[in-house]
Amino acid sequence: MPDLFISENKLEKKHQKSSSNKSKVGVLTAYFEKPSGVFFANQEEGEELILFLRRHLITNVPWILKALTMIILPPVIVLILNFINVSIPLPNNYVLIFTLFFYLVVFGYIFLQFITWFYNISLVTSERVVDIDFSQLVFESVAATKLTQVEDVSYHQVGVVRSIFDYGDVSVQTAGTATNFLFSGIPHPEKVVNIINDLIGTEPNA
Amino acid sequence: MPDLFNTLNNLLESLILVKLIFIVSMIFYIIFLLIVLKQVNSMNAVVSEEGPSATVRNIAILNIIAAIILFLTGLVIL
Repeated sequence: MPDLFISENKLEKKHQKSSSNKSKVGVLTAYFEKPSGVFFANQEEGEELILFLRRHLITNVPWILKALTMIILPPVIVLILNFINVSIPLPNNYVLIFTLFFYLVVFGYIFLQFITWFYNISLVTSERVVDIDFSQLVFESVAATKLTQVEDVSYHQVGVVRSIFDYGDVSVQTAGTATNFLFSGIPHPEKVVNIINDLIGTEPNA
Repeated sequence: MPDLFNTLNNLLESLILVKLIFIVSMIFYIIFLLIVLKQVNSMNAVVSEEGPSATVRNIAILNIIAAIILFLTGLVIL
């Protein structure tokens, strides 16, 4: 029994050492192999995270452009009104408060878009594939399947932008009635397919 | 003189309407931000990242504080 205790202790120390060597996931991380400091609900003891995935950062460009347009809108309106010699028919304190309110709403829009990206996470662990979906505050779903149920993994990378920035869709097909997974717009799809294929022990196919 | 009085009265009434619109909009916006915070907490319970999750939660709280400050400022200066 004492030997068993020492052995466990050594294992624990080894585990601690290995996890301390790993880097932590950042706020803007979209692809991370063997991350530390990430935990998800129903994670089993000893279940190791192998891949941490989010949509590529470049997929956020449309809403960033919308936000930038909204940010520059009030000064542009003021410039236009000055140009055509029309004054705003409200006292200055009203204009100030409404401008601040507008910018607060713009910040709320930016934050909502950001958390929609931030919480759309796909995880590949040593035992299963987990897909966490979060959309516009009203939709939230967590789906998981055991790696033993994964039958086929493939990726689609169509388009110039996707090729330049190296991102695409990875689909994970599962056996029977289990849910199929689609990881949309994730970075390095070929690498992801290879890693999942290595885990399930099959040849990669694209 | 009655014309001037009516004009001033109309202006005052319209400003009260603008103030009401601001107050109602702010109340709805603060409710929306509370829902955002609730969802952030709920998602942090599903998946948690050391560091980033807390940052996102703090930003959600700061957003609510900013909205409440603006609401109170609006009540005082409008």
